[in-house]
This record gives sequence, structure tokens and C-alpha cells, in this order.
Amino acid sequence: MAPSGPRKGSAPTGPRNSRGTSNGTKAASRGGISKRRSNVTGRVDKDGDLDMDAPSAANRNSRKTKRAEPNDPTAAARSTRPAPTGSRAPRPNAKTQQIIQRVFNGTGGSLSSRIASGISGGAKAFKSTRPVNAPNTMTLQVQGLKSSKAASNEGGGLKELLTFLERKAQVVSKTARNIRIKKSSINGDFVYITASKEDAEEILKLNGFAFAGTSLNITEAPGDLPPASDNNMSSTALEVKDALRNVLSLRYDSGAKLLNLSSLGEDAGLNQMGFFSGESKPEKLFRALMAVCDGLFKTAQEKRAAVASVSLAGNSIDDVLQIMSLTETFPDLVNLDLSRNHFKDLKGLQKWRYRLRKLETLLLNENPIEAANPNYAAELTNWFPRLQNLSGIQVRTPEQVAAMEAAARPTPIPQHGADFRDINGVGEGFIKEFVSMYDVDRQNLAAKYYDNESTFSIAVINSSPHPQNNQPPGWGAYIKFSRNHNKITHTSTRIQRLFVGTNLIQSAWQQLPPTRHPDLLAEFNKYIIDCHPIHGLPDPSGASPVGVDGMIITMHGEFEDQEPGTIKTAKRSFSRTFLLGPGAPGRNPIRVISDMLSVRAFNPPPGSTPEPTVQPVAQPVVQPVAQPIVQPVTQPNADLQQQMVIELCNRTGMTPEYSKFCLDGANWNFDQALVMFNEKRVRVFPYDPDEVEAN
Amino acid sequence: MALPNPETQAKVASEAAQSFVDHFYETLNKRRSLAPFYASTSPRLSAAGVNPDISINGLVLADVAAYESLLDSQGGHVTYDVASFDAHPVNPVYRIGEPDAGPGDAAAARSGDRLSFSVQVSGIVRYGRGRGDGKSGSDAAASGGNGDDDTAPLEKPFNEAFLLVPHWEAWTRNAARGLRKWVIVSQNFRAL
Repeated sequence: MAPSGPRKGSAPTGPRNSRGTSNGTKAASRGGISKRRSNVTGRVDKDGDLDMDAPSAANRNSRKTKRAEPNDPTAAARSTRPAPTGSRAPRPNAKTQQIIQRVFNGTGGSLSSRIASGISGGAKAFKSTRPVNAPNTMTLQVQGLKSSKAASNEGGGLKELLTFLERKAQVVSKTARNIRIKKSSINGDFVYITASKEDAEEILKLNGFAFAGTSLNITEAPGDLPPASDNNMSSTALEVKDALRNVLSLRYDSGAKLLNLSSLGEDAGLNQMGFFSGESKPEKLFRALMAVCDGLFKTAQEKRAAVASVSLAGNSIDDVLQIMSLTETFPDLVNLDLSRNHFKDLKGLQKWRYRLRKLETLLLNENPIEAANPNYAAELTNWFPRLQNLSGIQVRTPEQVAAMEAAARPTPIPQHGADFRDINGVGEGFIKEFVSMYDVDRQNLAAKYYDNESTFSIAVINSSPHPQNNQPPGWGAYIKFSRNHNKITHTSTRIQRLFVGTNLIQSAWQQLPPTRHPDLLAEFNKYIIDCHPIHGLPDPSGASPVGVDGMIITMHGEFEDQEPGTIKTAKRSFSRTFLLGPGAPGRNPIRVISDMLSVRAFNPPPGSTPEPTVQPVAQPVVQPVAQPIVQPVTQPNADLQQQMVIELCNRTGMTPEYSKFCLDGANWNFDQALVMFNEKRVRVFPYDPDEVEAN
Repeated sequence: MALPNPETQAKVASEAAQSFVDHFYETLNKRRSLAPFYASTSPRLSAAGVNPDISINGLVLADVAAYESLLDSQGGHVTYDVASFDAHPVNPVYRIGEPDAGPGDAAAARSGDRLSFSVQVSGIVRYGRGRGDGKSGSDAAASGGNGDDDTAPLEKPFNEAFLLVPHWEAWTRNAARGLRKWVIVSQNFRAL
């Protein structure tokens, strides 16, 4: 947005608009120009006409570079401005002053100066408050506008004059860069314009040019006469500002967060100040009021917190254009009273169709629109998504608003219980043994389940979301092993960090910090484990050429580790994918083909209780009451166990293996197993696979 | 049959996984058809009884179409950001559904063309328009930045494990262009 400057919005858009010339010819023809433009990079054409093509790029670049210089005040002014926040950002005080100044000093002409026409675009207008006497800008005095035919144009012809100067200067200087007038104002017979030194020098060459039937007299402005200084606000303007602030404070109800601007025409204070006599218009007053409001708040949040409601009842408004600055100053307004105004149709509200997205109450009582357009309610309800109260009638319930918002938001795929399609308990047996051994005896675990083809690697995710309250622990002990392919992109490192074979895996595991995983049975709700069969795995016996069957297990959970050296512990989350297959003859019947571990900041798994410590405490209390004879040693005999398994299957729909698993966890206390099932079934115990598929 | 050496296996698995992850999640985020990524796209694999096993948040889905309709049921603006992935070679020479023996087989096997491999992907699912979206981003900044909790997208970590096998049709001499070289036979997704 930078190059087109403060007047972007108001510039005329005729075919000869200076802004269009640098690009405009590009698409014009397939002839010489476009051909030459295609090799812009520095080829000088035969005529030696440097200005023709290459410089168009070069010049623009030089401007860019210049703007980036830190000591360039224009650059500085720009960079201190908050990010391109459009018209919503709170405007700095300087602008408030400027607007007030204009309201008072201003004749009709000065208000319609190009700066003023930029008021609605807050950020744009703000640019014009850059220091006028900056070292590398120059202010020129232009005489002739008053006597030209353009003076009778709407806006006094200033716009036309500036466009003329920019365009002509560019043509005269034969430059491809845009000549830009940064600032302008009318003072008596003179127009003062400010531009960069370079540009101003070009504009000076237009001295004596004819403009709308008169000849222009362009000179350098007298040094110490900065036209309309923004920074030295006149004392009257300051007084007015205070008076306006006073009016605002009288009309602000902090308890109700209401700014009551109703019936401004009857305001004694404002009348006393002569607001409604003479040339000054209520629109200007309103703009000034909003500008003062803006100056009172540092952030949008502050503003939101202070003002939720505004009343503009009884102000003879018939088009929101007259009060546009309201939505700029209070974009998050919740309640707005526009009753007793002159709105007669939707057109008068059209400009706010996509604004005030948080509006919940809009009062349009006693406006002609009520009678003129009976459909206005339906239409306005559509315009404002959160509107609930329109002219005292409920058009939506809060629930409807919530439902609409919920409908617009995506819904995550729901979580189901474990998809544990085991083969003869192989997966279950492996996981149980793995979890308990990994913490205490990694060497023997690796020796038992891993062989010379087994692979292991670990990937560290150090950008995972985590609860805001605690700083996640570092990854110092892990990062040198991390095989996160997003970060590790060199093939050699990727190969190096893939541990193949029992020995390398053992050595890697030895270097990883000691860990403690939650007990798989007692705290099964801290795990999510899925598994299912896969085919075509390598057969270590070599008997089956097309490969053998096995399974893939994915396990998600948490663990605590202890930093070697220090004894600091940290809780982390992990996911681990195992591929299991039959072992080689003479070895353990099950082997791990592939083991991929990924570790990240702790984040509780879905569905788990936020207070996991409650359970272990509660259980011992419940247990003795429900079943005084706890049998840690003596368990029911096999027959009884079998009966309990069948009964639990029937009651819960779990597979026999998992019923048994569950009962095991509950020490063969049937009631407790049922309670455990009910507590955890959402995500813990796998259902019968047939049933899952039927669902 | 000659096996690819361990380095070749690791290299091929990593490179194939890189290509898979890049394309799969881009396609997923744009909600284009995912069918070309699955074993069901290969007549040879299908004829040999190889069907993709798709398990999403614990729910087993019959086919890719069922998975896609589940994705659609989430509504718009769901994006998957990959934060990490890793890959292991699994079977150096996968043979289910392989084409009839030909002269180049040994070389193809040695170069890792017939490898099957596993991939584990971790990242973030974002539900709703994210900060990356220019428009809402500037709106958020204008209204004071982080004050707007209701417009901030919900984010959840996810983990997804795949097993991929050679897409036989893509390796033939006159293969159609743009076929994936490896296809999914097992997918295990969990939002965490």
C-alpha cells in the first residue's frame, strides 16, 4: 500500500492517472514495449534511452531502499505505526487534534481537502501527520487554484490540482517513477504541498504551467511557514477538545458502559460552543467527538471494556454515512440505539452491512423505515449475525446465536474407544511387557523383542501445543537423537539416526534419559492404544516368499523422565508405532520390526480426567467398603473366573480377552471391574471388532 | 532375490515418505480426492486382496470414501500441519500382488523400488480459520490481538501412522503419469 500514499482512495481513476502509467502499458500490445519490458534486467536499448524500461524497475527499487533507511523520517513514521490495522486501530492524538482543528478553523474548502477526505480511512489519514519539515521533504507554495475554473468544482478543485501536478511532473521529468504529493492544504490564496525533495524539484518545473484556465505560480514555500501545523494546535482547538471531552464525560455512564449521544442538537454545552450555527455541520461534530473518544483509549480492548452501548437517538440521522466514524471508533459495539432518527430505508444503513459484527441490540424505533419497509427486520437480522434485539423485538435467542456460531465452526472427528484388533493376545501381551520393562530393564527388553533387522528411531517435536501455564521442559537429552524429518533433512544424518539391530538400539536406549510410564492397568486412561493386523512383512525364517502377517500398534500416552546429571523430572507426551511380526526360528516368537517413537510437550490425552491423582486415592477407600475381603493373593478359581469373564462380556459387549484384562485390573472384583469399565469405556477398552465394524 | 542394502533401504524409505507426507497433507488440507494415495487405487493390489485398513480416532472405516465423508463431516477449514515425521523401511522386497517376473526385477529390488515402509507423522490439527489467514489475521490485530478468544482456532496435536507398499502399476514401463509410487495399506489416526 505504501507507494500510492495517503490519497489512494480519493485519486481520480482516469485513464491517464499517473499511478497507472508504470503498469498500464504492460498489457497494451505484444509489440516492442512489452518485448523490451520482458528483459528489464539492465539491457540498455540502442537509442541509449535509459528512461524507457530498465529504470522503471531500478527507480522503484531505489525508492524502496530509501524508504527502508532507518534515518528516513518517513520510514520511521511508518514503522512506528501499528501494523496495517486499517481503520479500526485507535488513532493517535495528533489526528484528533487535526480533526478538531479542521472543525473549527475549517471553511468548507479546507474540510474537503484531500486529507479530510481521507478521514474515513484512519491509517491513511494518519500518514499526513508526518513531520512537515522533515529534512528530505520540501514544501511548495502553489498559487492559482483560486482563480482557476477548478475552484468551482466540488471540493474546491484541490484534488484535480494535485492530480494535475503529479501527472504533469512525471511527464515533464520523463521519469517512470510516480511523483507523489504527500501533504497538501489550502491557506488563503495558496495551496501548500509537501513532497520528497526529489519529487518537489520536479514539481517546481511546472511553474507557469496552465491549469484550468489559469497559470500556476509555484515557488518554494517560505522556510518558517509550515502551513497548518499539526503539532502546534491552536489554543481554541485545545479548548474545544477539552469542551468535547467534557461533553463526553457528562454523557458517559461507566456503570452501564453507555455513551449517550442522543439529541446532540439539544445539548446546551455544544450549543453554547456554537456547533449548530454557521457552516459547521453535525457530521463534523460527530467526527470530532469520535476522534476525541479514540484518543481516550490506548487499545481496542480498553475501548471494548469501556463502551458496549451507544445511543444516537434523536439526531435526525437518515444515513449512516453521517456517522460512519462510529463503526471505526467502536467496531465491537454490542448495543446501538438509533431510535427517533430519520432512517427511511435500508439504503440508509447499507454502509454498515458488513460492520458491527458483534451487534446484539439495534433500536430503530420511531424511524420512517418501520412503516416504509416492513421487511426491514428480516433483512437486518441477516446483516448482523449476532443481532438478537431489533427495535425491542427478539429476532434471535442467544442459543440461536450460539448454535449458528457452532455450526460455522468445524467439528472435530469424534473420539472412539480403542480400536484394538488383536491377534491371539499378541499385541496385548507385548504392550504389557513393553511398558513395564522399558522403564526398568531396557537392555533385556531389546534383547528379547528386537533382532538384527529391527529398527528404532526417535523424533522430537518441540513445537507442540501445551497448556499455557507452564513452560515445557527442554529437549537437551533427546535432540541429538531426533530423526524428525522436518528438521533433519540430510540423508546421511537420517541414516545415522536410524538404529538398526539389537546392539545399536540398546546403546541408544541406554543414552536416553530414564523414564517412568504410568501403570498400564491401573492408569489405562492415560493411554490410547490401537492395533490391527497387517500383511506382507518380511519372514525371518525365509519360508514364505510373499511375507508373513503381523500387526501395527500405535500407542499414545505420557511419561516422566529424569534428566541425567540433575535429578530434575519432567512430564512429556509420546506416540509410538510398533510393527510386530513373527520372530526368527529359535528366537522369541514375536519380534519388533519397526519402533518409531515421537516425543512432545505434555498434553493430556482426550477424554482423560484432568485430575488423575484422584482415582488412586479414591480406590483404596472404596475397595474395603465394597469388598472387605480383598484377595491380593487368592484369586477366584479358573471356573469362577471364566464365569465372571462371560458375565462381563454380556454386560459390556467387550471381547473375552478384554473382559479378562479388565477383571485382572480389578483384582477379580466383579463390581469394581464393571465400575472401571463404565468409567473408562469411552476410550479404554476395545469393543468386539465385529461390533465395531457393524457400527 | 537381491536385497537393497540397509542404507539404500533407509534412504528410499525417507525420500518416499517425504514425498508422501508433502503430497498427502496438502491434498488433505485442500480436500481433494485422497483415493490415489490408497492401495485400493491399484488393481494388482486389490486383486491380491490388499485393502487399506483405515482407523480414525478408533473408528474403523470400510474404504477411502467413508474416510472422506468423515472428513467432510468436520465442516470447513480444518488444516493439518505436520510438525514431524519419521520413516522406517519394513520389508525390503514387498511381494504381494507383484507383477510377473521380468528382466529388470533384480535391479529394481536392489534399488529399493519394491520396499514397503512405515511412516509416523505428528503435528497439529487446526479447526477453524487460523492465524495464517490474512483477512482474519489483520482483523484480529485490529481488534487488539489476542483479546478475541472466540475467533482463535481450536488446535489439537495429532499422530498418524501409515504403512505403504509399492503401487505396482506406477512402476511399469508405460505407467500413467502422476501415479503415487507407494500407496497406503494401513492408516492409524488419533487426535490427541
